[in-house]
Amino acid sequence: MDMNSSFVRRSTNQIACDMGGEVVILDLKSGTYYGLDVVAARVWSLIEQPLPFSAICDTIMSEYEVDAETCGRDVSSFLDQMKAVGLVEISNEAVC
Amino acid sequence: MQECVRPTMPLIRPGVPGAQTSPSARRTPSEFALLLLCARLRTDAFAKTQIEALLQEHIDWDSLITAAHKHRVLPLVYLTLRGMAGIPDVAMSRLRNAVQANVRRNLFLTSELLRVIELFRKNGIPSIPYKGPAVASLVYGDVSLRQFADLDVIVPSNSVVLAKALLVERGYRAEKPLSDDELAAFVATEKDITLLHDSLGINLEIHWGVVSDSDPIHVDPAFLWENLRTHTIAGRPVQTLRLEDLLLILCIHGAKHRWERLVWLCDVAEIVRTPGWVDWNVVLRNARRLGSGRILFLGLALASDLLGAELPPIVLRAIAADSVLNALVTQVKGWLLSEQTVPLDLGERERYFMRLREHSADRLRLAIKQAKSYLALTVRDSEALSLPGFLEWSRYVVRPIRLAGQYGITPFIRFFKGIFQS
Repeated sequence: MDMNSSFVRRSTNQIACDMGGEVVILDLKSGTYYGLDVVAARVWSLIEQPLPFSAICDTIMSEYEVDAETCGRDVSSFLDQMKAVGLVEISNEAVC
Repeated sequence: MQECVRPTMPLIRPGVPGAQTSPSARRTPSEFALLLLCARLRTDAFAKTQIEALLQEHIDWDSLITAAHKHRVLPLVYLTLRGMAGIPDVAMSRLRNAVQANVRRNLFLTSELLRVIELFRKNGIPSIPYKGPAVASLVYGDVSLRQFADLDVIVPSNSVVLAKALLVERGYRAEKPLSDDELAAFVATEKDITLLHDSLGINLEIHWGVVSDSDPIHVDPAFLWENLRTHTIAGRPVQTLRLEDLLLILCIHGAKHRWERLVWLCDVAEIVRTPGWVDWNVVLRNARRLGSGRILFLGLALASDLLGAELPPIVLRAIAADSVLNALVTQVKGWLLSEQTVPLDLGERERYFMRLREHSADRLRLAIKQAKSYLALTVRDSEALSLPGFLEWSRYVVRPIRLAGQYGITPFIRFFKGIFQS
């Protein structure tokens, strides 16, 4: 799947909280807790509703000093790992 | 359940390792003053200046953290102090660890609450999550920002037996073992039952009312179901009390527990602080309807006095017009500022409860209820005096005399002062 044309959203198998920018996610299936750093937390906040991958990268680049290639690589890597543990859903359509 | 934070992802960091500080010492006014300034979702410039001044003084951090935990305000204290200068690393680390543990516990409890609500919904039981995650999410905007220890769910009284059975199937056990018939009878006289999940370590209370017969005020359970709102907790829609009703119920709950925990006042203060959130006309109309005006104003006056919540003029005028309220505020502040829970002398609780009611008819009703409770005969009354059957009635005369002999007449004086000095 081409990540650039994909839509990303949070999976329903989790609940998360945001304590002043410190995001913690509980995976409801495995009972595992995940903590996100500031940038990852920002990505997480963006995908409450389905959002194109390109829009996520655009927002991150507008808020942080990072070039497009590094941003795309890091965000893609983060989302791939989140998908692997079932915390995000990535699809070609807006409704995941 | 695993409790770990995985550090494997490039943007994901592990939790901070734990740290210990020295054994606790006695809390001083500086620590409590700091606690009051920090126990807010947002601190204004004035509060921030006061905090910075206090941080220049010697702060007993063990004492502060212990008090923050006791008053269930650790997340607010942590958020306020995070990033400020003058806090020892070891104290901040201890605070952070405690808050991170609370975050994980809150998420876990919230996930269980949502499962229980879904279980009830599938079985046709409407439910209202009450206190805990619901108040954290509704009032603070996130379940991580308020400490809570257990779960509370309101269901209609005619659904309690089924709700309990469903929870027992889910692995819970009733704290008081009751048959279905006994439970149905229990529902008629009480307001909640506690269920325990031993392996998950969860206490869950099923409520069908929010006050018991011994409380200072009666709230018809129908009131709770009148104006529900849909709120989203962790992405799932749930039914919650309308904010105006919640404010009133929180004030009743805090008052009956003598406002022993600061977090209850924080709930009130945060509701008040959000501009345009509360329709005060609705709040005051409901308070009049329940006869709980003084109880409401006590909570609001304390939230203003201790936590800087700005009250609207309509409330300030009502507070100023109540001649008893000042003394009540002073009394409750005395309890709240004490390091330990203050035990009340016999009759003092009854007096306090009566003073919470603004109408003499309500005080009289409460006094009769309390008097009936005190005059109910016990085994000791039978043991104290052997009487022939036709004189059994005289035990009701002898009991107050026996109690006066045992405890003196001071509790009786307090009781009557409660009726007539309010």
